[in-house]
Amino acid sequence: MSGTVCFTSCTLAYLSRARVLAATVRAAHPDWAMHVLLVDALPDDADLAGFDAVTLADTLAISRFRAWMFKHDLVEACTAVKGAMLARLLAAGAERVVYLDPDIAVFHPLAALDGACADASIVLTPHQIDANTTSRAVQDNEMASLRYGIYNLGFVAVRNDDAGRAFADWWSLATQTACYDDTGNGIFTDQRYCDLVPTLFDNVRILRDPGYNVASWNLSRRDLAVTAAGDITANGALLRFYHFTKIGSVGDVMIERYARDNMPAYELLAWYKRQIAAHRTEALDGQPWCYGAFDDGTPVPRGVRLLWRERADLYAAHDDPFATGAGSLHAWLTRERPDLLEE
Amino acid sequence: MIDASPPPDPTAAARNRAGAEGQASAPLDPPFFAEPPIAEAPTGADPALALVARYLDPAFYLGGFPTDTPPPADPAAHFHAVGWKDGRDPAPWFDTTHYLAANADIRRAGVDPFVHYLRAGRAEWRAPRRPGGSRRAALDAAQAAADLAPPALPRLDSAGLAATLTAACAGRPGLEVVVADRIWPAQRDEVTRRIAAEEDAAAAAGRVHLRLTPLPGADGTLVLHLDGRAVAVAADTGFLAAIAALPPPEALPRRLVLHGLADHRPALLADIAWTLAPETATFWLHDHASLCRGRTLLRNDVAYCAAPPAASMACRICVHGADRLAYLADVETLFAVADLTVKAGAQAALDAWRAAAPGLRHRGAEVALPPTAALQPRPARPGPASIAFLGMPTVDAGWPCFADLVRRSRGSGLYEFLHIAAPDQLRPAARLRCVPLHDGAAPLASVLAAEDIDLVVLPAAWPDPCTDLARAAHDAGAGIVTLAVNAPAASLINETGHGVALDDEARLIAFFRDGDAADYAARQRTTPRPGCAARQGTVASPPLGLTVSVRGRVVPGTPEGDRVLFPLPEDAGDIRIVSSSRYLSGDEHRRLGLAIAGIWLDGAPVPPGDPRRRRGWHGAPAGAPVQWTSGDATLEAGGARLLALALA
Repeated sequence: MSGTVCFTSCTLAYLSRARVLAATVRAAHPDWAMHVLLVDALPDDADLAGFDAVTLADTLAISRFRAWMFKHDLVEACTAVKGAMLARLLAAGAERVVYLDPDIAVFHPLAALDGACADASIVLTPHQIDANTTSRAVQDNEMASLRYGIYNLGFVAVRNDDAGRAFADWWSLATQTACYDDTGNGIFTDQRYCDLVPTLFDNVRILRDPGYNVASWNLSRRDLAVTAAGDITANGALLRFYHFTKIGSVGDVMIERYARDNMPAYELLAWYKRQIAAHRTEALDGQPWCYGAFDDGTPVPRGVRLLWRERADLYAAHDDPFATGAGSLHAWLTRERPDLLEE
Repeated sequence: MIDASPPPDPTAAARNRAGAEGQASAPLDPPFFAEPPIAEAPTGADPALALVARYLDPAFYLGGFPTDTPPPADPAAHFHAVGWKDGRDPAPWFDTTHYLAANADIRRAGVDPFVHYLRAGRAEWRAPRRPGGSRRAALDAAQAAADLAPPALPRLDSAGLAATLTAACAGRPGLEVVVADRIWPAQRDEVTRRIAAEEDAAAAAGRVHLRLTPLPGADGTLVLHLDGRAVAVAADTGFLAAIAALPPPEALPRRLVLHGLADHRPALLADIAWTLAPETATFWLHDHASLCRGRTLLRNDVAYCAAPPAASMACRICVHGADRLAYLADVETLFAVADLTVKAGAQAALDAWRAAAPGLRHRGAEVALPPTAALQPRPARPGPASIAFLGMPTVDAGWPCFADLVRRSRGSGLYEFLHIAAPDQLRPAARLRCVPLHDGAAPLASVLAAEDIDLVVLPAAWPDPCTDLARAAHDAGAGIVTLAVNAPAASLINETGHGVALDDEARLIAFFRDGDAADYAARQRTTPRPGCAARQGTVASPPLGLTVSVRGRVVPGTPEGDRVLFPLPEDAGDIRIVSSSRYLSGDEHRRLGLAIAGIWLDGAPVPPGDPRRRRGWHGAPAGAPVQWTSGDATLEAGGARLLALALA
């Protein structure tokens, strides 16, 4: 493996988004290899033609994978495996690895990676690069950045050098240790850890180009436009990629809240929804996440996952907490903590 | 209502007003124009009602009621009790229906949404109306091509088609094949008229007139109209085979006229042109389908794109741009094969097309311009200015902008709005008078003259090569109000000196909102060539930014030094001084119109605090020279014959 490898991490439910990402990455960077890390079971008839390679999360170097996976809900799981995948790709010889969230679409080539950041070992994009000027926007954005992380880990680019590999190993370790939505304890999945990256590693580059990682959380300070030449810009810079976070639900509301009358933002949103529809596989619509339920199909309540994180004795006793039947965690819960199963 | 708080810095308002007068650098219409800064919540027996009363626009609200029913005596109380439940809007900037639709929690709570917004929603950044305005609806509806049910016509294969065409051509001296787009005939008056004329000419000469229109969504399917009558549906490939079976061109001379490419397959049209071997081939520039499948060049049906490179990102995100590279290659082939003569209705349209399509080879080009009539002064008349929208109420034609204009102008009393179109195209709405144009009725210009139209609004946000509506407006003596991007219409304004072209929809709305349109309409009645041809949102004779009216009639003003003079009719009595108004940022919570530095009636000053400054004047500290209006102020002029105003 050589050159640049781009990967994303998702479940089957987000495969349509990942396909859109892959198509846009391929259009902007035809020389990049596009991988998908699937945190789910792979159906026999899954169409993965848009990807150069598919990796199943349970093949990563994570000890007692099913027991470990049981600690996480869907978002936590999809982020917790990114570090291990990054380390694997670097170990396999990729010269550079770019991670992009599945709900991102690339519009113009990520030229900074071969320009201003060409010699950087680790490239991060902050949620915000401009200070907000109203109290409400500070609450929504600056305070959110302090809670959820300064950098948005929907994107990270890592070069295969000492610092890059050290970061990958550290991030993999950290996320395998605790990759939870637990802001009360200063953790938010894989993201809060990366607040430490500029102080822990050498050769880190913070990319403050307004064309990178445009999303509802920074739309209050980024103005999208389409030029006469047909380029899409953010604050006058070429729009490199847009992060369509939580589209179809709260993401739409946030775009309206911050884009206001900036029509190109709505054009992008409409385009993205059309793309998702075009890349959808009907058979996968409503497909349950394979790590979302016990073997008998009963959903795993969040309370059970929290208990599992805390109870080292249970963790040690059960290799496969998804199993049901005699001697299983499920049997123990039914007997000892039926209240948790009833959530 | 007199407000006792001190006036704000007049220089700030002067800067604000400068923006309203069209300086390109000043944001004229911020996203939530006139949305008020919220002061502390009123107190009293019913604070919520007091809050509604403070921010509800009574004239706008009452304008939403039918004229034949008595309006509510207390607009605020009516809105607070039932109006919001009926979906009524309390002010132009607040959309009750959207607020409830977008905020399920408020809907579930069953509370007055306006009160919620004023108390909490604004602080929570909830939008008081759907961001993006009318263009959002257009974007929602944008699609590459709508599927249409095929008409109830026989479907012919190539053999059946060949038999039909051969029979139709037997004994006839020639064949005229006309390619038109799917929207003919209802939508494009200029196209309709030209095709009808061609049909008449062909019939007079005995030639067969065969018109081909596409079925959108049914790729390559054509509807065939023979001598003006729809006769069959066929595949375009079948048609190609059928014309190959016709007598040779020497025995049956052919002509080819392309009136529209939209929804056709240009590559197949190239094959048809080649097989037809016409003695003449004409391409009419009615739209931009030779540059893009999106015939208006409105990206996603919302923003004019000026035909960027086909591989550009703009095309990739556009509903019309997916296969534009291949489409343009096919169009290029069509032009190369058909040896077309290009005809346009306006020089500006032809110039723009040549600039955007340098690669399209053609035999020649010509402009077919109907002459414009000389204008005559029209007598001044009292009452509001009459403002018309003509034809199909489509997004292409800018109907959403006009509908927004009608809605926002509700209650101003300065305008009467009309929609003049074929009966099935009329879109009735509150405060909009519909005038049906029946088949065989008088020419459009005559109808406009009969209705005594002051201004025709042509808010197409793209350069529409068809200028028939603009010409009809001109011939009727009506001013044209259009967007600068609509270069053919703007060019006609430059040519005739009769109309206004504004930078964008926000400025067009502001032109009416600020009363400039009423002022312009009044002046152009008595001076039909007032030299107001405009570009880039400015007018040669700049609008004053205020309107003075006496008994509903606008009084033209003349700047003289630092004052503006208004000759008043006899016994003027109460006069209105109307201007744009807005809420400034910060703690200022009053609607501010004009900062007036001085008023003189027949040369005698009327200072701040003078009881003749009756309504719509904000309080001013004792001795202060400047007093603000609320945007609609009343002055008791008595029998004075000359009003002089000085703006701060």
